[in-house]
Amino acid sequence: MADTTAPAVGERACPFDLVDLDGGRVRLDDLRGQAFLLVFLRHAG
Amino acid sequence: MKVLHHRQRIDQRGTALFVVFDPPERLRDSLLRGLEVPYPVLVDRERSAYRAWGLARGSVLSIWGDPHVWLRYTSELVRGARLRPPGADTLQLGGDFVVDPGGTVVYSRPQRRDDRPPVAELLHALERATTTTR
Repeated sequence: MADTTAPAVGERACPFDLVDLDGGRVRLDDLRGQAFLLVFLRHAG
Repeated sequence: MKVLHHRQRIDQRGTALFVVFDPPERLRDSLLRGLEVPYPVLVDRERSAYRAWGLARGSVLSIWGDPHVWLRYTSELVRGARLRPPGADTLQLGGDFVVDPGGTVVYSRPQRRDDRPPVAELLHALERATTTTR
């Protein structure tokens, strides 16, 4: 069960702080100043 | 990950990030096998980002009872795709979002069933995210 509802258009993006497959850390704040597409995938299969 | 076919359009306007919850070793053997992804693939094993972005688990009926799911798998088989074993959780839903340079969501499409938006729609949203902030 999700904690919250998905952010709607016009709302602030939810912060995230995750590690990528190469071990690099990516935070929402690191992306300030550029637009981005954020895709949450389903299962890997 | 059809959006990867449009890398040039994405790079002209910003970037893309993918969030997954499966363990990296499983990803390399399945989804990412033979695939070069020029964008960060972020691993969210605890699904904290999934929850924060409002992405829930669907019901068995909403996912596996959806005829579109079976149609998609059938069409992929007909095209010669090799079916992979399902991941650890086939009920976790995904979602697609576009965020502008100021950190505002300009496109929000959490999944409610097996209904990803067309790639063109995502690219258009990304393009609008940079033109409207100028």
